[in-house]
Amino acid sequence: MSDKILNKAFIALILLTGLTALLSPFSIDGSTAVLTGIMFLAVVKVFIVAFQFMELKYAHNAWKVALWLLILTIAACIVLLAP
Amino acid sequence: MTHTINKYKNFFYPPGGILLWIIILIELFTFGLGLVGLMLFAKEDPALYHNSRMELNATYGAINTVFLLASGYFIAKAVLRFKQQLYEQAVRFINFSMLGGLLFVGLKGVEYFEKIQAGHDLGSNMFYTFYWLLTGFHVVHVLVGLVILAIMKRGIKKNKEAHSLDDFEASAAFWHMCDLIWLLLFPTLYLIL
Repeated sequence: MSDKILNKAFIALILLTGLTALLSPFSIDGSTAVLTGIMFLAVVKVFIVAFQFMELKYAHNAWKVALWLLILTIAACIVLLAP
Repeated sequence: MTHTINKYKNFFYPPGGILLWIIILIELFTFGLGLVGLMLFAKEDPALYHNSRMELNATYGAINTVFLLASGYFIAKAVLRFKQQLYEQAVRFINFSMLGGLLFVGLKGVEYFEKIQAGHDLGSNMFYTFYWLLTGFHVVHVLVGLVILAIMKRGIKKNKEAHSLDDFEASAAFWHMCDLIWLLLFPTLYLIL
């Protein structure tokens, strides 16, 4: 972990949050593409926090796979079940 | 630093410790179940859920996301400084991180106050039951995280050697867990229904 990587990760997180805010007005009509896009951005942010801030990138693969499976399952359920 | 990274590769020593990572996964699973439950109920009465969701202030949610992300960034910096044995800088970054957490709780308080004033309490409808339970439970985690950070900061200030890197990483991992949960709650509750 270095300052440079943390700074880059933080900038990416803020940009992705901004992008989510830009997308959100289009979600009012219930577009599946927009909903999927918003959840995709949320999943990317979760992985940036976990892998860069929490240093999961250095951990045993089992922890990485467990988080991937859990987050992707939750996000997929939300997208598929959305009214 | 290399020794620490090599240690992380061991299944039993992920950054923050194995017990905390088990807790993190269980917490994410629990909140995930709550969100899936929310979506299942929303399927039964989409109009009610959509109208209720539109009553939430997404701007507050977005600002709170920035507060928590900034707070997580600062605590990651604090861990880095702790590893570099720059303890005073680590304490400064813990302060910034706690400020982010306090701003999150403050804005959440304003949001809750507005909701109560508007008569949207736990029993208003199923959407608000989910809203209060999910966000309320999350705020409790943030408050617990703030207490842990305050204790950690006090310990480092009193005696620089009082806490091991493992203690500090575990505290930081708990704090990041609040970020992870919020990053899933925010879009699902405020943006997509």
